[in-house]
Amino acid sequence: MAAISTSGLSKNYGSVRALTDLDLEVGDGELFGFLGPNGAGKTTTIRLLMGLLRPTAGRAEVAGRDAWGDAVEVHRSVGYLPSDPVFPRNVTGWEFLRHLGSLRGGVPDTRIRHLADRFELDLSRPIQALSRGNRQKVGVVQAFMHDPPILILDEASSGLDPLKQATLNRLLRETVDGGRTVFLSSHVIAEVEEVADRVGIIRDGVLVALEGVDELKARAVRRVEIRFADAVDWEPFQRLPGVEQVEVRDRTLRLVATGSMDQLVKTAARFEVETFTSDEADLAEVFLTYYRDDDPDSDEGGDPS
Amino acid sequence: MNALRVAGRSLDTYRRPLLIWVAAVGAMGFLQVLFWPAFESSASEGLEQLMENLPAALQALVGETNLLTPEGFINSRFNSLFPLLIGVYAAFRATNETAGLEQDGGFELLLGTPLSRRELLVGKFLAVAAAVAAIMVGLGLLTVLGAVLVGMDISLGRILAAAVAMTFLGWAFAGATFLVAGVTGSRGITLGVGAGAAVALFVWYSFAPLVEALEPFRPLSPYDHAIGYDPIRNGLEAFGTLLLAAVALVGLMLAILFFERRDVGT
Repeated sequence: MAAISTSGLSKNYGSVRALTDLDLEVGDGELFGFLGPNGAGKTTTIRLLMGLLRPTAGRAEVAGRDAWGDAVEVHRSVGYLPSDPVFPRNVTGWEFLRHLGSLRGGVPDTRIRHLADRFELDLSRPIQALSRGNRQKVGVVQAFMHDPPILILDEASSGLDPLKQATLNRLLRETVDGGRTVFLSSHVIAEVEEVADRVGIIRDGVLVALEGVDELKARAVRRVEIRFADAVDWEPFQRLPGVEQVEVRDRTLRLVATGSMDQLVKTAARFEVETFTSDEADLAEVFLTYYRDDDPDSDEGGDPS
Repeated sequence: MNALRVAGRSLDTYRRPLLIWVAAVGAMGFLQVLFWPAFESSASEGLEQLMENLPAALQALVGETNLLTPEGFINSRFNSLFPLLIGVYAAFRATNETAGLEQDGGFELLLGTPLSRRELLVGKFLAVAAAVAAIMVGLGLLTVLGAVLVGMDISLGRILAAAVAMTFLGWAFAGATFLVAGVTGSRGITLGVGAGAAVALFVWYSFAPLVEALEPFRPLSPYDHAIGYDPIRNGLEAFGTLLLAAVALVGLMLAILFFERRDVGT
């Protein structure tokens, strides 16, 4: 049985189509990454899964039950982290987590403390006095504290420093290794590809790609800048497969590389390299490659067919 | 049970402002009564004549013309300022605990647990109802304390009865405000309609008697059913009190009905 499944799931706000015809299945024990730029429909999808929004059409099932009609039962099996979680005023981390725990029939303090310690979170302070990153940790702890079989996390690592992001990634891996299911949304590819088994990419409310992380990595788009000791001939670089937008200024070569960097590095190594930097391109650029693949005739950035 | 947990959490979060409200409103009642001996001895019959010669509209605002009796003296606030205050307060408090929180995203974590929307609204209503009751009971008790201290010749039970009547009035406005929140989820609309109704219906209650054609419609205002029958002189009236309770309950039930069928906003 799939932990999460949707069929024809759609949500309109007036004439705005926030989500169109989403068909998706996330299996038990899977860590599913849900990628898309801001405003693509990730949060809409997640709030439909949580029964906070009523579908315009189609349906969503979580833990084998209807997400809208059976929301309370669904929530017994789910840990939910909304994007930018909001906490009440005048309440400490302990007070609030115990309150949420009591609504779930009680969560042992030891479990809360264990999670808080992992994230080095001080639960005795008022939540409102905490930094953005520490508030996010409170959100993470409340999602995991009752050890739910399904976790639905919206931009979980947002605001966390790199060390705590690594802690979160370890926690996510342990969670799925223990047979639980994670649905994780993000607008940053690196965050998701590090932990996810499979990835869905959404744009303008439409799921445009669904594939394993390895395939996604093979399509990864990077901006590369190489500075050489001497002026170089850029011809050999331009002929490399997957290399585009080659541009030379003095001794500096800039290009965009897709997929394996092997050929590029080997070609550059024939010359004396001073610096080599590679940044992951943002999601928008990755989408451009998808659209080109989907429909070679269409303009860049056009709607996928 | 979950509803009680929600109510407890809300009251705990709101504990300090509530204590200030209870103390401030109670002090107003208490201090007013302390002035009674000075007022009684210094006021001459001229005051009574002055009041009777006031334009009817001003009399209506004061709510009472017979200021020289203990009942009239108390009514000058219990029949004007305090009911208006609790009506507006209930609308504000109800807005903050419903549409205000919802629009800020404050329902998101709660509704991610097995807490039903009904339990959430019932819990929030209990918290608002308790705050209204605390302020009115505080007012009643401190007014009674003051009346005892200055030896006012008045039924203490009826002062408490008036406080209870105003508690039900506050609950009615809270229920109506919950309904607007349940339908719209918008803080602005909820506060506008809730607090606007609390003020407009008070004006209606005060001025309807001045216009012969409007007088029969005065009972359309909930204020009429809390203080219109003069609980300070007549005690608590069952019909008006039950009517206000019904408004509160129906408002809450409809609010739940609508809230369960719409998207939760952020």
